[in-house]
Amino acid sequence: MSEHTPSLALPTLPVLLADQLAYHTRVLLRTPRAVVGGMLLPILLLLLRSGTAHATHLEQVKLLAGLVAFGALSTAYITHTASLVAARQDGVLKRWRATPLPAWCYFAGRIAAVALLAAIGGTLTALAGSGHDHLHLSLGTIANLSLILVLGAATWASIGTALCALIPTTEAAWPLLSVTYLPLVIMSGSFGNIGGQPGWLATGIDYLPVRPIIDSTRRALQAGGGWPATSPHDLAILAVWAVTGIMLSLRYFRWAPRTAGRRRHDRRAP
Amino acid sequence: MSAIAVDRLERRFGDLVAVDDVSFEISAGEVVALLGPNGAGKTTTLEILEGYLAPTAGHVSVLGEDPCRGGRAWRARIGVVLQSTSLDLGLSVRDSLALFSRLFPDPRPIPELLELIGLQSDAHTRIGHLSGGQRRRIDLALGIIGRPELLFLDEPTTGLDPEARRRSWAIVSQLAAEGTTVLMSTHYMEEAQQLARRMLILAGGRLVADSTAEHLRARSARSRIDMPVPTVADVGGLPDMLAQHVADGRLELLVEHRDLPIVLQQLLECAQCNDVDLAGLQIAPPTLEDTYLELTRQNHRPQSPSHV
Repeated sequence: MSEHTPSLALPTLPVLLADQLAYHTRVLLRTPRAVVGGMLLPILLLLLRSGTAHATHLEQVKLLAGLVAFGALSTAYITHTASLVAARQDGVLKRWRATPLPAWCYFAGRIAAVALLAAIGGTLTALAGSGHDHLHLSLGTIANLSLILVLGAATWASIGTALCALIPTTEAAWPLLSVTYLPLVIMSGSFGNIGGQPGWLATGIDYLPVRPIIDSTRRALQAGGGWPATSPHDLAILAVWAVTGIMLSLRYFRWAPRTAGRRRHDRRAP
Repeated sequence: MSAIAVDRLERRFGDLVAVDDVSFEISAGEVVALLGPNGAGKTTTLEILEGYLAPTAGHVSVLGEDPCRGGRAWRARIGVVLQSTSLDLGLSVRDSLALFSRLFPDPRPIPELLELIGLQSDAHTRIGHLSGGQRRRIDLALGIIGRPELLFLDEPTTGLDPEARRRSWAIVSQLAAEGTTVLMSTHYMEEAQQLARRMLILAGGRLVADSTAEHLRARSARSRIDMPVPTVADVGGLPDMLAQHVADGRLELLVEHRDLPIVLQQLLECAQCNDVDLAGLQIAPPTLEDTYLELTRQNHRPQSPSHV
C-alpha cells in the first residue's frame, strides 16, 4: 500500500451535500418508477383525458394543476419511500451509516434530489398541458410552479421517510403507499372535482397536504396568479405536515432492516 | 491505550438476551477473531461497537469514545465491513469507490484499492453485474477506503472462492502489519488462525474463552488420536470402540487425557494380536476447531425465551 501524507481535515458539509444531491439525482433518474410515475404517467393522463374540449379556462387549469401535483407527489412520496425501504432492506443505509457522512446530510441530499425531480416532472407536465390546452406559461409562472412543487415534494418526502418505520419490507411498501396515496389524491381533486363528499370529509381534506399543493399549482398556472402562488394558509398546512414527518422520522426511523428472531432498536436519529 | 474496552456488556431484545455480561479489551494494533456459532451474539457485539446498537447495560469504549455518540471525526477513524453485501448495484465499481472516498479526510487512492481487491479490469462495470464474491471484495474496499485505525470485519470472506479469500487475508495481514487494529468475526477456524493471534469465543451470548489458539488447544482436557487405517482388515482388527471412529481410511478421535493410556494400550494390543499397522499414529493436542466445538457445546444454552 502506498506511502502517503495524511490530511486530517474532514470534507466540508457543502461538498458532501452537493455530492449527495448528485448521487441521489442519478439514482432517481435510473429508477423507472420515478420516470414513469412522475413524468410519463401524468403526461399520458393529460393527453388521454376526454371531455375537456369545451371546458372553461378555469376547468382546464384545475385539471392540469391536479395532474401536475399527482405526478410530482408520486415521485416525492411513492418513489422516495419505496426506494428508501429498498435501500434499508439491502443494507445500503447501514453502509452509509458506517461512514463519516452526517445522517442529516444523507437525507437532505436525498430529499433535495426528490424535490428537484418532482419539480422537473411537474414542470414538464405543465408544459405539455400548456401545449395541449393552449395555455400561456411565462418564466415567472414556471418559477412559481417550481417553488410550489419543491415545497410540496419536500413535505411528502418527509412524510414518506416517517412512514418507513411502518413498512418492514419492499414487498409491503407498494400496497401501503398506494392505499395512503391514491384515495387522497383522488379525493383532493387531482383528477377533477368528484363532488358529493360530506362536509366533514371535505374540510378534513383541506387540511391534508394534497389540496394546498393543487390549489397553489392552480394559482400559479392562472395568468396573473401573483408571486408567490402559495398562500400563507397552504404554506402553514404544508409546514405542519413537513415538521410532523421530520419529528416522527427522528423518533422512529430505522437504519437497519428488521431481522427475524429479534426486534431491532436501531433508532438513531436521521 | 485500548482501542476497544468492553465492560459487562449486555444487550437484550425484549426477553431475548443476545449478549450477556461480556467484558474484554483489545489493544491498539491487535488482530482479534470473534468466534461463535450462529446466534452466539457476535454480530450484536460488533454492531454495538460500531455504534449501530446501544447496549442494554454495561459500558463500551471504542477509540476512546462511546460508539453511540461518535461524531464524524470518530467515524472517519473506523472501517466497517458488514455481514452482508450492502452496495448500490447501479453504480460502477469505480464510481462507488469514488463516492465513498470523498467522505474521508485521507482516502486511499482508487487505483490502489482496485489493485488490492483485484478488480482493475472491472472498474467500469456496474456492481449489479458482478458475482457475489466480487461484490464482497468491494465491501472490503469500502471498509478500508478511509485508512481506518480500527477495522471491524463481520464474516468478511463468507461466499468467497479460495483465491479471493487468500487475497482478503493478504489485505488484512497487510493492514495489521501497518498497525491497524482488527476485530473480525468468522466461522472459519483456518481464517481465524491465519489472521488473528487472539480468539474471543462467544456461546449463548457469553464470552467463554479469550486466549490464543495455542493456549486454547493446550488447555483442552482431550488429545487427538489420528492414524491411517488403510484396509478393511485393519479396521476389523480394531475393537468396536475404536472402529466406530474410522472414516475415509483414518482413525480420528478425541480422548480425555485420563483415558489416553487405555486407548493406547488397546492399540498396542491390536498391533500385537491382529497385526494392525501403527505406522502414522499421531497423538496431538486438539485442533482449534475441536477446542472451539468443545467449548461451544459445553456452554450451549437452548434458545429459550431468555437467551438467543
